[in-house]
Amino acid sequence: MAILVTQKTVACVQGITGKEGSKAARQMQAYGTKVVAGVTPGKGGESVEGIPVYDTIEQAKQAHPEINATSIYVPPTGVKDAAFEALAHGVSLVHIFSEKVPIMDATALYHFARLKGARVVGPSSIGILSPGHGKMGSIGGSNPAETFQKGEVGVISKSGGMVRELSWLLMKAGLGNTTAIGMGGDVIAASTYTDYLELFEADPETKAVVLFGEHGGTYEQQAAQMLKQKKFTKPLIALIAGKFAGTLPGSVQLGHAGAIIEGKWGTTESKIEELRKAGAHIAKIPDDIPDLVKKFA
Amino acid sequence: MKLYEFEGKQLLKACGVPVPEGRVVCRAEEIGEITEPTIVKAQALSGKRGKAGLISLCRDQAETEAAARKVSGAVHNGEKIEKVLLEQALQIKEEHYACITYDTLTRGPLLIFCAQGGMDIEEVKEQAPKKVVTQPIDLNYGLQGWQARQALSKAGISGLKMIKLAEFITRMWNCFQRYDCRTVEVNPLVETEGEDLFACDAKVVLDDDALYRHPELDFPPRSPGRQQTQKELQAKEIDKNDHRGSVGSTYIDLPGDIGILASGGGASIVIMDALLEAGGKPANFTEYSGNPPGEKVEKLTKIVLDKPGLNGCWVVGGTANFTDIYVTLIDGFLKGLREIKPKPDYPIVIRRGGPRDEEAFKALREAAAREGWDFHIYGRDTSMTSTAKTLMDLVAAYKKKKGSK
Repeated sequence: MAILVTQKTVACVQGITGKEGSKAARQMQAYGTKVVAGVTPGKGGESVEGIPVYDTIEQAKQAHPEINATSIYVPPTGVKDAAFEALAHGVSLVHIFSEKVPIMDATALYHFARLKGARVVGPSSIGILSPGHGKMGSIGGSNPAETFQKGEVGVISKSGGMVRELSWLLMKAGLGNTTAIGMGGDVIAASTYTDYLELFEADPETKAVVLFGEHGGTYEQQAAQMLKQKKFTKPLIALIAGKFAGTLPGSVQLGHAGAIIEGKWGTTESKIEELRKAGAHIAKIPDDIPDLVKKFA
Repeated sequence: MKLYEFEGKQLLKACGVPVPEGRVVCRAEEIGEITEPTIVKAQALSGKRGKAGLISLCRDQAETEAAARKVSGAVHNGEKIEKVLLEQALQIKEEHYACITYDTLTRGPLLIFCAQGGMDIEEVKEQAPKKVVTQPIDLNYGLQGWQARQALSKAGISGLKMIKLAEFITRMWNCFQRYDCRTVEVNPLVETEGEDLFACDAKVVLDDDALYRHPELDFPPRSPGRQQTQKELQAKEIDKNDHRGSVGSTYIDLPGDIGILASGGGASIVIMDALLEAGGKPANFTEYSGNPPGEKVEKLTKIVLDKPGLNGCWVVGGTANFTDIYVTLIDGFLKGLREIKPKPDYPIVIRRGGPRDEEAFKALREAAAREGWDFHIYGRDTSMTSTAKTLMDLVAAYKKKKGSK
């Protein structure tokens, strides 16, 4: 089995009438995902790629009660509102593609999702892709099969570009994914490594997980903690970038919003050390990853 | 956005947090008459000002003017001091530490308090971790009075002072929430001999992504740690008023000789690590992503390459999901490159994958043949990080050839 996105996923796209939203809807369908509705307030009654557009999630759910997932492609100012609307209507998987979401909004929707028992992926997530099942979001672009194939390795990455790059490296080495996830690199991610590791641990098809992390925050350390406590027992291969960032003066933010080092917290070196001590296999460069997977999985 | 001390204090004051009486001057000549002991504080975004001699206690007019003259125009961690804060000196009885910031463990705001303030909190955390108390804050309900009192009590504060400090901290929370802050830190939080509380320093960081809902906050752009270079300011302009993709929002000038045009928040970090490993010295860090239009990448290309002394250029990214490689490389990079004078003859290594990559590579090869560029083009079959060494070998050969001329 894959995690999060499976044959049972029935999706809608919020912000489907926008440029990236309509493109994503088309790509998701082409990759075999059931996309039954789109929602853009004020554009109800239109259609995009043959997909009916509704004004509200309520209307979309009335017409398609089977909707259980949504991909959010609205401007950052409307993300919290869109996510709350979906969560209030019991949508259990909410993927947020939009970037530049205020931290306070991300915090609010993380806590609301917990209250609703739903899974929110993002903000700033490229998407979730399970080869042979489907995808949510823009992950893999219009031709995911070029870089993703079915296999036994889970991938979790703060970076959208790296989730594709790492899956491609696995594919070149004859390996493949159960599910690949772009978790987003924001300060507050609604789901983090530990949430996904828990799902991968429970998934019998997943034999190993590749984790891409960066300087800043503590999500990587929390993953290390999980390994230490034996809550994740499969081989974990980790690549943590950001040594260069540590050479810069002051608390300079490079790349993602959450990638900011304050004091000794969140340095690349400290993350690598904790993961290594907890039993993770550390890749120095992306190219090391396939061999480490083959060696330990 | 990190605020200067005096800006942070303005926000705190607006939320009812007491701050010492003070005013900001740009030059010693603006000081006017001084009738009481005054603290002269250089305004800089990076810390450790005290150790750098940028804060001084002055007893009279002459000392105050001399201190202001000494610090204005001084350079602290690369940042030129342009403003000086003059504040009434307080009779200090005790110094505490209080901070509200986002915590990635509880994924929400967190109050951090320590009875022992003044010094670097990192040092306190290391030397006496038990002295630092924390209290997670629920966004829905805000910081409750009892939570503040409970935290203070754990930190060894009692009696009337506990009640007064709780009120102080609750107002800090109001400031944090009202202005969408990432951090509100008061260190030291001073209790005077007269038992009044004051925020004697303020480190306030605003959430850039929430600035749109605070038109009342109109602080000029800045870069923490140092003054922004002309190019850094130019690069920031690219994303202004054009929200298609992200281009140049992060641009940092560096002292090396390799121009960098990286793509992707994660990949750009990976490749910088690889360049250092290969012995390369970057002339800048920058990144574009999110399927931006060609003209934005063209602008960034000009900023990166219009720089004397470059010996190589690396256009590098992972395998894009949705960024159009043809648009970004041909309508963006190549167009910008053509406008650089004198015409770059150094090696340019391009490693990229993603939508329309083959089409883009074909156009690049044609341009190289026709216009004489030293392009070295690699697709996703070549590992991203391995092209760092490829580039550095080419750069070494180029420098040798240039040196023998």
